[in-house]
Amino acid sequence: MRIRSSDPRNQNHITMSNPTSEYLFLLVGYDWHKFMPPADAKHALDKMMAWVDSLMTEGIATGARPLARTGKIVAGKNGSVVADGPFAEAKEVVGGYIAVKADSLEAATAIAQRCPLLEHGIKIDVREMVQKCAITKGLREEAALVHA
Amino acid sequence: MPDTNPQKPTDEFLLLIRGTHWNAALSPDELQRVMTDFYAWVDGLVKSGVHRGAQPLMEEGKLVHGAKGASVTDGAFAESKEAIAGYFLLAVPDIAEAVRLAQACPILAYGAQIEVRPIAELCRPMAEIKAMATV
Repeated sequence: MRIRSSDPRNQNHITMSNPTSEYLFLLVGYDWHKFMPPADAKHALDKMMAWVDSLMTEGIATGARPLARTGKIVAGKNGSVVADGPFAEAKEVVGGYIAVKADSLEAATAIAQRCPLLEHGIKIDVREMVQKCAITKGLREEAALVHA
Repeated sequence: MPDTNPQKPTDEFLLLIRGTHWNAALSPDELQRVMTDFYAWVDGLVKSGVHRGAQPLMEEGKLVHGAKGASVTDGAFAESKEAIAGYFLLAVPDIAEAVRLAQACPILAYGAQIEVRPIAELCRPMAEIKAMATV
């Protein structure tokens, strides 16, 4: 099933021919359900799961996982500092991720805009996954200049 | 509702690498050395069979929020201690092992931080709903 949008900006990516890049959706916000009746939370989650399932079925999403609320923060030389984390307030905590294929950041963003949890306060940080980190790329460019 | 978390962890952990521009104060030679160490650390994870995936992320992105994703802003992620620069997905038996592997990451010495989060079987709201249903 294709989801149709009335917004013309959202039309182009709907039939994706050859998505060229991968994007990570970081779902930011935790405990959004705490102030809702459980039945409403379940309804919101059912919609969310149906959306993720449809992305997976259509081959748009390549992976999606929820994260446990608590973990550890590792910092300092030799990782000498280990603390219970994350420290951020619930609305800034990453609650899960979805990896998607799309042609552009704009196309990925348009997919993210359909997430049913947005109306409950979840934010999505849409980020392109790159093959080489920017730091390594910078080093190689510098090396190329040196050898030029 | 008591604040007990009914989520069950899996045998996978997400390491979120936090901090961009931690390399700003390093000379090119130092940076080269640190990155060589960093990739040796990554190779170690691959060789030991715990590495399930990893990606650096572009610093620039979009932040989508509001009902129907009505609000789209450029993410202000550059030059932040908190910004997520990439991730590693590791398959290890427990969080202690995930932390131990994270501690060996060479860029921690330069200010980067690693957030170690268990991948959960269910998201927390669903875990709570299921827990309530079985009471």
